[in-house]
Parts: sequence; C-alpha cells; structure tokens
Amino acid sequence: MDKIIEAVNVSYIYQTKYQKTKALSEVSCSFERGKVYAITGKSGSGKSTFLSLLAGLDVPTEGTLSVEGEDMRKMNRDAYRLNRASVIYQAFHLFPLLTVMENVMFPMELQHVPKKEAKARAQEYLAKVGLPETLYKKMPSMISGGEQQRVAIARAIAAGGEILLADEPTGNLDSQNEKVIVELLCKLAHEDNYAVIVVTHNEAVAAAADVVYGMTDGVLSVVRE
Amino acid sequence: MTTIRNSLIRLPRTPVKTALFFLLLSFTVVLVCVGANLRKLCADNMERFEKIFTTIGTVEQKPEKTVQRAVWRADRKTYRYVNEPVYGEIVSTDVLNFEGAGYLSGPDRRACYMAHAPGLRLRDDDRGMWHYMIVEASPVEDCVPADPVQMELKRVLFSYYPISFDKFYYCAHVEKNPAPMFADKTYIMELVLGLPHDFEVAENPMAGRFEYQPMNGPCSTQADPEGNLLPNRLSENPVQELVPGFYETDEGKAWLALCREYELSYDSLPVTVTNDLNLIMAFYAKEAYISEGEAFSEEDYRRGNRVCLVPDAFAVRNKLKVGDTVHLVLRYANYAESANQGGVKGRLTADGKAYEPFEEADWQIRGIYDHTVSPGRSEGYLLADNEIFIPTASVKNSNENHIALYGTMKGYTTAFQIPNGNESIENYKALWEKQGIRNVEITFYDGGYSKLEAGLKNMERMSLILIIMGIVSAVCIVVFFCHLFITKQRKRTAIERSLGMTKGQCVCSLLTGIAAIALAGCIAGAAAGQLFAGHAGAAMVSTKPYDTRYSNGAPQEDEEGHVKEEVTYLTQLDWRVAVVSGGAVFLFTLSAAMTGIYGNLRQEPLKLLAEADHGG
Repeated sequence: MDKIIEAVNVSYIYQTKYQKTKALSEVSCSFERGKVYAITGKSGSGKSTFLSLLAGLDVPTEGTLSVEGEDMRKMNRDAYRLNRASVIYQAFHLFPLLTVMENVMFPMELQHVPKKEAKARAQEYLAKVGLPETLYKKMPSMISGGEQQRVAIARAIAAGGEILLADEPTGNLDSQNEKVIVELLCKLAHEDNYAVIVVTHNEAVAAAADVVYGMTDGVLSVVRE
Repeated sequence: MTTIRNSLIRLPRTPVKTALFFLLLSFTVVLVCVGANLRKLCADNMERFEKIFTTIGTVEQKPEKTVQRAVWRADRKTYRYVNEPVYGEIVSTDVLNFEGAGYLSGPDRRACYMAHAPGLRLRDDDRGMWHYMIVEASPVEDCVPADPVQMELKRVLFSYYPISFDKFYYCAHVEKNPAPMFADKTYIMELVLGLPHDFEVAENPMAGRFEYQPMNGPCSTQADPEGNLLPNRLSENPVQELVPGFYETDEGKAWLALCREYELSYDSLPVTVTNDLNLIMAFYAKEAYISEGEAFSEEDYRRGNRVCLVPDAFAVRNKLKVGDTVHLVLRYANYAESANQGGVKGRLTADGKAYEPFEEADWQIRGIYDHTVSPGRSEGYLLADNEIFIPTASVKNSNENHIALYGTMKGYTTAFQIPNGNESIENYKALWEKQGIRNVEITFYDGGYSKLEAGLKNMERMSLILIIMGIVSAVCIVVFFCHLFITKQRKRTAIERSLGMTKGQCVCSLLTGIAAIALAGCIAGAAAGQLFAGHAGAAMVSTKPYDTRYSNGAPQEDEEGHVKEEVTYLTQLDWRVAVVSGGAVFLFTLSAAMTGIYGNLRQEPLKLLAEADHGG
C-alpha cells in the first residue's frame, strides 16, 4: 500500500463576520498513489472544501491532514502546492493574459526550471494531453473549454508533483471532451503513478474511479472501494 | 525574475488599460510638478524680493490749520501772502509705539547735528554761498529804510566774504514801516545779501546793485527733549542801535555770541544720526548708494561704533579714504529739519550763548557714498552737501541741553520699517487707525513690493489649485487603476497561490506591472511638468516692468519722468521639485497598490478561489 495522504477526523468551519458554517465534519480517509479517487455529493456538501484542504490551500479547523506522515499544519504549504500537489478546476483557472505555452511553463518557472527546458517540457505535456501545436501561442480565451481543461491538466502535471486534484474537471465540458479528460486522468494515475482525486457529481467520472467516496453535509462515506 | 517577467509581459496585452493608466498618471504628475515648481518659484522669488525690498513708513504731523501771513514787499509797495501751517501741540514719537506695530526698524526720529570740523575743506570755493555778515554801520543820511538806503560801513564783526567796500545799500525789505535810522548813530546789523531792489526794472537807479536785507538778530529756539521751547529774553532784532558799553550788556554779549556762532558754522557740516540707513529716503530709493567701502553693520548700530559714511565729493576734497577718521565736534541738534534744510533760525542757546560742544571724537570712515537727485523730490528728502551719517548710538553723550530746534515729525526726519507685504501694511494701518491720532499721517513706501507680492500670491494660488487638482486626480486615478490592476486580480492571486507562489512572489507579481507603468508615467509626467513649468517661468519673465516712484532697484527714468524699474524674476527651475513630485505620486501609487495587494493576500487561497469562482 502506497498511502500518500491521510485525513483523520478532519473538520472545517467557514467563518465569516456574521456566521459559522461547518463544511466538513470529522472526515477520515486516505489516498494512495496510482489510484483514481472520486468524491461525489451534492453541491454544498463540502467536497470542494475537502479537495482544497487536500491541495494545501488551507488547513483543517480540527483533525489532522498529513502528507506521507507529515502534518499539513507544520509543512510549507507553498512548497507543497508548488512541488507535490496540483489542482485542476472546473473553471480551468488559466491565466488569461498568458499564452497556452506560458500557462504550462508557469509552475516550472516557479521551480526555477531553465526556460529552454521548461519550454521543451511544456511542449511534451501539451502533446501528452493531446493539444495541437497550433494552439500553443494562443490565449486561453481563444480556445475551447475542453482545450482549456487540457491546458490546465498539462499545467498540473508540468509541476511534476504526485498528487493531482480535480474539482469537477468535466463540469464545463461536452460528453466527448469529458471522456477524453477522464481517460487522461486515469492514465495519469495508472501509468504515471499519480494519486488522482476527483470531486464530481458526474456518474460517468465516478464510474471510472478506483475508489468512490460520498460526501453528505460534510460527512464522508465510502461508496465503492 | 520569472515573476517579474510574467507580470511585465501581461502589460502590452492590455494596451488600452496600460496606456490609459500611463497617460492619466503622467497628467497628474504634470499638474503636481507644474504646481510645485510654480509654488517653489513663487517662494524663491518672494524670498528674493523680501531681501531686495523693504517697506518703510514715513511719519508726518499734519498742521491743524493753515494761516495766511502778509509779508511786505518793499520793492512793489504791496503785501504778498504766504501760507503758513499751524501745528499746535507737537505729537511725540511715543504714539508710534503701540502694540502689534511689528517694527523691524525704528521708529527712528533722526537728529541732524551741527558739527564743527576744523581743518576739513568743506567747499571748493566760496562761490554760491549766501553772504551773511554782521556789521556796524551808519546811514549816510537820516532815513527810513523802507527803500534801499546807503549805509556807511564802520566795522565788520563777521562776514563770509572779505569785504572790499565801505558803503552798501540796505533795505528793511519786509517791513512796511521800519524804524527811522539816523546818520549820527551807529547800528549793529545782521544782514544777508539779497536780490537788487526792484532789480527787474531797468530804469530804476538801484537796478544791478547789491542790496542787503536784515536777518533775525540774536534769537534762540532751544528746546528741551520733549520739544518745549525754553524761555529766553533775546531781542530778535536784526538791527540795533549801538550805545556806549553795549557789548557789556546781555544784548551785546548775545550779538558777539552770534558772531562766534557764524564763525563756527563756517567750518561746520551736518551730521545725521540714524539707526537704519534704509529709513533715509535717498538711501531707500537708491539715489544714494555706497560707492566705496560698506554700509553700517547691525553691530555698528547696536554697539554704537564710531563709524561714518561720508559723501564722495567731501572725501575727494579732503583726500579721505575708507578707514580714515574724521574728527567731529558735535554742538547742537536739529530735530525739526533735514540736513538739507538745515537753517536753524535761533542758533543761540536760551541764555544767548553759542552752543558749546557736547561730543567730540574721531569717526572712522566705513563707507563713501555718492548720490543722484531724483526730480520731484522735495527739499527735505534731499541730502545736504558734506552730510555725514553716523549710527545714532555712536553719540555717547546726552544732547538734552543742545537741542537748537525741535519740531513736528516730518517724513524726512521720522520713519520706520515694517515687514514687507500688503497684509503687513494693512494690519499696521488698522492698528494705527485704532490709536485715534488724526493729525499724524503715515505714508508707506514698499518699492512696488505689494504689486509683486499680489502677482506672486495669485500665482501661488494658481499653483496650489494645480497641486490640489493633481493630488485629487492622482488619488482617483491610482485608486481606480489599483482596483483594475490589483483588486480585480483576486482570481489571479488565487491561482498563483494555488500553484504554489509564496505571498512575496504574489506581491512581486502584482506590484511589478503597476509599478512599471507608474514609474514610466511619473518620469514622463515629471519631465513634461518640468518643461511646462519652464514655459510658465518664461511667461513670468515676460511680465511687463512696472512704474514706481520709490524703489530699491536702480531707478531709471523714462521719457515721461517716471522711474521705471525692471524687476527680474528668478526662473531657474529646481529639478528636485520634479523628482519629489514624480516620486511622491509614484510612492503613493505603490502604497495604494500594496494596500490592495495586502487585501488580496489577507485571505487563504481557498477562500480567494471560492470568491473568484463566485464572480470575484
């Protein structure tokens, strides 16, 4: 068993000036390399919040979230996000003023990869996600949603991490593109040994996962293992 | 570097926003820079003019009324009428010492001393001098001197000129019914050579002849320091019959004292004391100026150093140079007139004696002055021949028993200095008005400073408006564009954070772009602002020169006789103003940007993304 992330009794409370909302309630689970995990649930059930915590975008209010045994609270989460965990969003979240190529090169440049090498690797990743070379110099707004999501996946794997987190990655795509993206994510887990965790309420995406968790009102349960 | 490059390459990809921010920010910097430059030019010019110009007030007691006095004209057998002012009680200079007056100098009521200066050449020759003489004479025949009568000279007690005649004509010119004179009697007479009687009538037998007229006779106008006339019993009779033993009487002694006074005054010169040379109109108006050496220092005035300023002609005549000393014997003071008027009627003390010296010392020549005469300047304001100036405090002994004449304050004897500016003058006038002294008039001379000040104040107001407009527009523009470049970039920050950028890198990423445009805008704006300010400065130079009667600049007359002065302004711009203006706007932009960035980074990426996903 190649466990990479473990959550023990993780709770998270959104706190605003006027109210507190408990988004996660004592969630416990673990994730391994080489597998695709799907977390399903209704909107507002807390699945995206859990994914964000896994991405190191915040720390649990209660409980422990550890990466290979190291508590997320104690680790450098900037470095974690830069080198180990990448996130793919439903809204793609590409930089609109950078070209496709520059978007993919971005995390590598943050890692101080030489520009020439970063460019070569970006081309490799873009080819891997099946994006035609003619689009490399285009701005994100000039390509389709499916293409943008492929760019987002290329950018995620360009960081060279081992955890790939996807938040409704097919939410804005048609069925054909959806299928391509799901296959791509499965391939990254099974062939490249990524731990792929997908938040979705799409049954087809869940069906392709190795393990399926369900999230209801912040409580996680195993649906299929 | 990657972060900076990635930030910079985005700028040309939003050209409108970038160009608009650049241009608008440049514009605001231009406004601030032009405003600040004009303001500094105003301040520099004000400071310069403050040094060049001084504002003085001259004080003059106005007469209570004017009366007409009838004066007999023996030549025409008719009266001529002269207007004479009646002053009433003398107003003391103490009235000028009221609270809030804010004098920089003075009030200075100057005394003019008669100083005996034996051994010094006071004139090149005796030509042009009035011919005064005191003689004993008898009429050739019994007569009434209502017309010229011939007199036989018996004895000369004093005369400015050597007497080479034994007969002369005498006429009691201004008396309608003079006392008869008898050939068998001898009279002592104080006379002055006047115009020939009826000189313009060619057929008149007197035409072309000299005629002597009576002076004042022994008299005294001695006063105490408060200006009260000391009582005396002198005859004030210019013609008096000699009787045996006359010179043993008080009257006779007074006549002899008068002769001695004439002898002393022949070798005397006027010495004016002052606490500030600028309060003397001739120096204030630069009609008199130091041609060699220097003017008195503050220390000279304060410590009463025995230094003096002498006129150029006097120095040349006596071969004196700066550093030499002049020995002066001060005998009496005249508080009523300037040295140029200088005719003390009663030159004897109240007890009928010539004034004895009260101060005798050497004054070292600190400077030599020369002077020109402006047309239209009244007699009192003109400088006298041989007039020497000394600091007031250099006269160590009291002159209280040596005041030969005291009078009302005049513009040419009493003056003060107040701070420059219309506000200062108006303030003084308001306070003076409150004193309720109606018969003392104060006239201000500022050399045109008020006009210049008003012009500069206008420009200063304009510069302030420019600066305020610049600041307000800078605030609006910076806040708006910070919103576009930073606050609206929360999503970008969220993505960058989610991709592992540190907060420092995010700051750098967001700041680089806006800072680059701001820097370029501020530099361009500062350069353009400096250029425009230069044009504004040049426009200031082209301002027409103004006319002023009294000015501290070197006066030049135009063809109409007005003193025309060209005032030059400082127009040299200070590049540091541009740096400060541009720098201030740039720093403000950076601080506003940092505030926005801080707002972006305050939240965890999770919440930022949540906001971004919901339209942030």
